[in-house]
Amino acid sequence: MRRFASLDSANPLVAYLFLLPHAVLFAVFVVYPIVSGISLSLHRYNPLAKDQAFVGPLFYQRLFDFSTPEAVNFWRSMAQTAFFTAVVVPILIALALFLALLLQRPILGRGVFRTIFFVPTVLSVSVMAILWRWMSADQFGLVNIALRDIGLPSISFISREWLAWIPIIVGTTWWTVGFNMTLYLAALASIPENYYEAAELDGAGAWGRFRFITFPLLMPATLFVAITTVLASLQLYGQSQLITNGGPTRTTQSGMMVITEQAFTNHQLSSATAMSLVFGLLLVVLAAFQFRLMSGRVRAAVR
Amino acid sequence: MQARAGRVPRAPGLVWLTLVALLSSACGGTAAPSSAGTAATSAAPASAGAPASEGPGGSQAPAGYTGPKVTLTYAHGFTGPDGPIMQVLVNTFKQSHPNIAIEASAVPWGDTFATLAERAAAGQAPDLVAVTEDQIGYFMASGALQDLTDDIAALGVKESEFFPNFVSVVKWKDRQYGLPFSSAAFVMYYNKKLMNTAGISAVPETHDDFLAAAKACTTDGAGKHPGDAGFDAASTATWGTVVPLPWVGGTVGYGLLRGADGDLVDTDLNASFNSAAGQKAAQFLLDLSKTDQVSPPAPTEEVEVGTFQSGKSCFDITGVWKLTDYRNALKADLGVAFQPELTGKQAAWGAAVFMTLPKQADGYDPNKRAAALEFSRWMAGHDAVLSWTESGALPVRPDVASDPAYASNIMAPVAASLDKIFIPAGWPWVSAVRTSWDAALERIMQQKEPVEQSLTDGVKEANDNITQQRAALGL
Repeated sequence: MRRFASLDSANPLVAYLFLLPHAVLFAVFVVYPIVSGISLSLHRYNPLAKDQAFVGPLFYQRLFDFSTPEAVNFWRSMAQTAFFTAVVVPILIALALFLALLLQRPILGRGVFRTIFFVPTVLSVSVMAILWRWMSADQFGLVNIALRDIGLPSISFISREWLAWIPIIVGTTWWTVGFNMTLYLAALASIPENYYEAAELDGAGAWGRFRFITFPLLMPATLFVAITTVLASLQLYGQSQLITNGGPTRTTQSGMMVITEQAFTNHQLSSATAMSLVFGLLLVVLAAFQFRLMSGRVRAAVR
Repeated sequence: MQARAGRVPRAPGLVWLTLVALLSSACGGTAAPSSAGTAATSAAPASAGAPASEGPGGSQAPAGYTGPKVTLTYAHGFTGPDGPIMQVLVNTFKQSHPNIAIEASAVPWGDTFATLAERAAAGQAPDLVAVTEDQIGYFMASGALQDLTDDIAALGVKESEFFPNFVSVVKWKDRQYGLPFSSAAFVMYYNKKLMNTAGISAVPETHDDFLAAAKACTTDGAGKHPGDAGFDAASTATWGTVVPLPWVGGTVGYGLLRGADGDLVDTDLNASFNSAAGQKAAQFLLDLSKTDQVSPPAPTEEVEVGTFQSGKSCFDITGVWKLTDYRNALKADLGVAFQPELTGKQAAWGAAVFMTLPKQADGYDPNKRAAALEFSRWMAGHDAVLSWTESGALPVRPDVASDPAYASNIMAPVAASLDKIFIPAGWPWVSAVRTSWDAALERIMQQKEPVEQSLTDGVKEANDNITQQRAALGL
C-alpha cells in the first residue's frame, strides 16, 4: 500500500493523472460524438420529434444502393475527392521537398524566400479561395485579363469540366506547400553534416548524396507530411465550395460538401451522419494502410 | 515490438483528429453549443405579474406591451450593408418601447438555420428569429416555430395589410407561423445607352419584344447580329443578356416556370418541374444561348455582372440587391423594370423574410412572448417596413408600395408589380427541390443532358429526398 502513499514517479497513479486531462477531452470531444453519431445514423433523427424512429442500418444500405440520390452523389464526390488527393499530394510532397532543398543552402535572401513560400499558409481558406476565384474567374479574372492583354484567347476555368480543378489544385498548392516545406527544412537541419563529408570522401556526387543520405533520413518527415497531406486533401471543402461551388454540374463537389448538403439543404441529418461515419472509416483504413506501408520503410531507412 | 508499441498512440491520434474535424463539420447542428445571447434569456426570472396586455390599438398603436421590463434575443442574417439599417430599426423600437430591450445579433443565415431545430428542441432558441423563405416551410412543418395564428388575430394584424403572396407562404396546414417584413425579387435591369445604340426605344414587356431587342443588342466584331449571314458567335462584342449558372439561372428559370403556370411541386408537394411548363422554361433558357445566340453559353456570375457593368449587355435579370453596384457602374444609363412576360405571363422569383417566435421550453415567460409578438407586429407594420426599404428591400405591404414617401425609391415601379412575384415557400423541402432544379437546368445549359431527361432526373432525385424528409417529419 506504501506505493500509493506519495505522488512520486514510483506511484503508478501518476502516469494516469498525467493522462487524465487529455482522456477527458478525448472522451467528450471524440468518443461521445462518435457514439452519438452511430446512434443518430441508426435512427431517423428529427430533433423536434418526441421519439426517434429506429431504422437500423437503413441509411447505410441506401448509401450502397445506387438507385438512391445519396449513393450516387456521395460516391461520385468521393471519387472526385480521391482524384483531387491523387493529384495534389504528390505535388505537395515533391514540390515541398524541392523548395526545402533549394532554401536549405546558404543563398542570398534565403530568409526572404522562406517567408514568401510560408506566408500563404497563414491565410484562412476563405481568403485563399476568394483570391483564387478572382484570379481564375471566367473573362474578368486576373489570369484571363492577362491572357487577353497578350492576345491569347480566354480560358473558362470555372465553367468547364476538368478545367475547374486547375484553380482548386494550383490554389491549394500555393496555400499549403510552404507548411510542408517548413517541415522538411526542420528535418534537413537535423541531418548531421559529417554524413555528407564522409560521402564526399567516398566520391558521392550530388545525386548520390541525396539518394543515399538525404532522402532516407527524411523518411520519418516524409511519412508525417504524406499522412497529414492525404488526410487534409480528403477533407477538401472550402476550396471547392468557394472557388467553384462544386461546379460545373457538381464535378468539383467534394465528399464533405455532399455531407453538408445532405444535412442542411436536404435536412437529412441521419443520412448525413451515416455518410460521415463511412467517410471517417475510409480515412481510418487509409491512414492505417499508409502508415503500415511507410513505417516499414522508415524503420529500414533510419536503421 | 518496440517499434509497434511506439507507433500505436500516434496513428490513431491523427485519425481521431480527422474524425473530430469531420464530425464537427458534418453534424455541426448537434455538437455546437448554443451561441451567445441565449444565456441572458434563460437567466431572466419568469414574471409572476399580470399577463401583459396585447394592446388593442391595431398595428399603429404606439406601444402594445405594458408588462414589466424584459430582454429579448433576436437573431437575423442581415450581415451586409443592411445590418446597420436593421440596428437603427431596433433602436427606434426601443425608444417607443422602454420596457422591451432587444439584443439583436447578425449571424449568417445558414449558421442560424443549421442549429435552430436543435436549439428549439432544447428550449435554447432566441426569442425572435428572422427566417427566410427557403427555410420557413421546414421550420413550420418540423415544429420549430410557434403557431401565431390566434396571436396575430389578437394583435389586430389583418391579412389584407400584406400582399397576399407573402402571407400564404408563412402558413402550414392553415396555421400562420410568422409575419413578413422584408422582400426581395429578381428584376430586369437594362442599359439605356446600349439599347439606344441598338435602336430599341421601349423596354420589352413580352417574349417577342424581348427576343427582338436582345438580338438587336447582340453584335459580333463585324457589327452583325444573330441570324445575319456570317454572324460570328465566337467574337461577340455585346450581348442581349447573360444568364449565369447555377443559382441565378435557376432563379430566373423559376420565374419562367411560374410564368408558364407551372411550379416546382404539385398540389401533393411532390416535385413536378418536369411538367410541360418546366420544359418550356428550360427550353427558353437553353435557346437563349443555343439557337437565339443572344446569351453566351454556360457563363458564370462574374461574367454576367462584369458584362453588364462594363456596358456590354442590354438586359440583366437578377436580384434587387445588385442595384447599388449597377448604379455605380452605369449611372444614369441604368433602368429597372419587372421581368417581361417570357413564357406566357409576367412572373418573377421573389424572396421574403418573416419574423418568427421559435418554440420555447415549458414555463417560458409569458411577458417575453407578449413582448416578442409586439416586436413582430411593429416590424411588419407600415412605418418599420417603409424604413426597412432603405436597405434595398422591397415592401411587403401595399400601403408602403403606394406611399408617397416610397415613390422616389428606384424600385417603386417594380413594387407596383409585387403581386406578380412568386415565392418558393410554404412547404418543407424548398431548399432540396431548388438544388435539384438548379442542377437539372445546369446540366441542360451545359448540354450534358437533353431538356426532358434532365428535368425528369432532377424530379426523381428531389422526390427521393422528399420521401425521406416526409418520413423524418412524420408527414
